Amino acid sequence: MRVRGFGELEAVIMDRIWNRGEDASPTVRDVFDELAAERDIAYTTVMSTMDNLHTKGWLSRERSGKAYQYWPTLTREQHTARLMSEALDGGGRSDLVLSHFVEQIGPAELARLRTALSNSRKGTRKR
Amino acid sequence: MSIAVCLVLYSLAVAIVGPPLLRRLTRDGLLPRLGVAAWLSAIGSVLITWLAVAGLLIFEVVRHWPTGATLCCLARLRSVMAGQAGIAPQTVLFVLAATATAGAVVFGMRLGRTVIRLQARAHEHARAVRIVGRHNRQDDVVVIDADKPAAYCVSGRPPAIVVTSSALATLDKSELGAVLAHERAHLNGRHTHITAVLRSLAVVFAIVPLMTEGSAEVSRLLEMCADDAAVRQHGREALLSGLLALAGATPAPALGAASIAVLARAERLMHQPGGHAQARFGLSAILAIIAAGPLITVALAISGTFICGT
Repeated sequence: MRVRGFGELEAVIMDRIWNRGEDASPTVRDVFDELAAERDIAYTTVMSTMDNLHTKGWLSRERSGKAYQYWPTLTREQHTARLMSEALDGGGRSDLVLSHFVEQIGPAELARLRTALSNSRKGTRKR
Repeated sequence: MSIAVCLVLYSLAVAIVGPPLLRRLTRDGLLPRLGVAAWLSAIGSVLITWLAVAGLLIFEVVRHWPTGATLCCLARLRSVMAGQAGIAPQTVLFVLAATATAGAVVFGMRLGRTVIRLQARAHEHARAVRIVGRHNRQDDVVVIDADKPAAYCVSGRPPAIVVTSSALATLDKSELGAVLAHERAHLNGRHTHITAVLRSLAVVFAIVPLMTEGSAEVSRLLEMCADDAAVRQHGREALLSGLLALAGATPAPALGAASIAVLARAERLMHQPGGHAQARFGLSAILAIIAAGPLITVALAISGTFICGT
């Protein structure tokens, strides 16, 4: 598995930490050991990425002895729910600019659209 | 000075006549790309004209500095106070120039801040989505586990096309291809950037209909541009049934502007109305007028043949 930039490393590290379960609170060393078994990666890279994730609110940490122990602030599912409500319930009023493929439409319009589409298909076949 | 007055009149004309005219010409979405170009050039020419007016006013003040502006102003002001004379044109000029400069700085900064805020929000979302989601074989597509079927794209470093797991389950292979082609067209055409800038303009100049309507109309036309790109790659059938599959998955409670826009898109895809030549002529003419407008205005003002060229 290749790593493209910090963005993907963030995803990989969060993935590993979430997979450890809710009660786990690994140190940078723990995560580094796990990753280093599979890929060529520097300890400092893992450290700075986890520090970054802490700054951005993805990870909480507490000092235990010389090292920090990290754990996720929210589960993956909680993050997903937050992002989806941000993306789908904004109704175009929020300051998040997205290009939706299609907006949801009402049942009457849907019925009208279905009829029009099946009519146009019939028309195409006749021709 | 007369040039500045003419430019102000020109920008007012574009801001007032532009929206209804452009709306009519781009209503059917016959040539969405040309339509986008016409709206953008109208908005751009008004902004550039405003900046040019501010620049001209400042230039006039500097040209008369110091004898013309301040000294004269103060002397005149004294005589105005004493009731000996009316307000001098230099005073008016000075006040106008100061107002224009302040306006340009304030609105420019607000615009910049809004654009930066919107971009930061989008980038943050793209990044978060990449951390939470699963990556498909395609690099730019992120799959998110959610029971609402949806697909969208968001700018970022790198940008992301987000498809929910429920949408993946709903769409067949050709429909999914068409949906992804539509979103990719948005990213390749930098549509999300255009939308962000126009949205910011609409926020900052909320009282100028050209800006607010332009933002909404261009988004609508950009959807049609992306539709055309998807149709070229996957055909009309695939795109239309993809549209139908995702639009009606969780019906919206009421008829809103969004529903109307979706119906318009679908109907455009189904019927492919004629009249391309007329639309092309109309939009090209508008584009030419808008592009040449400020130059013609300036030329007329300089030659002194225009009514305001006194």
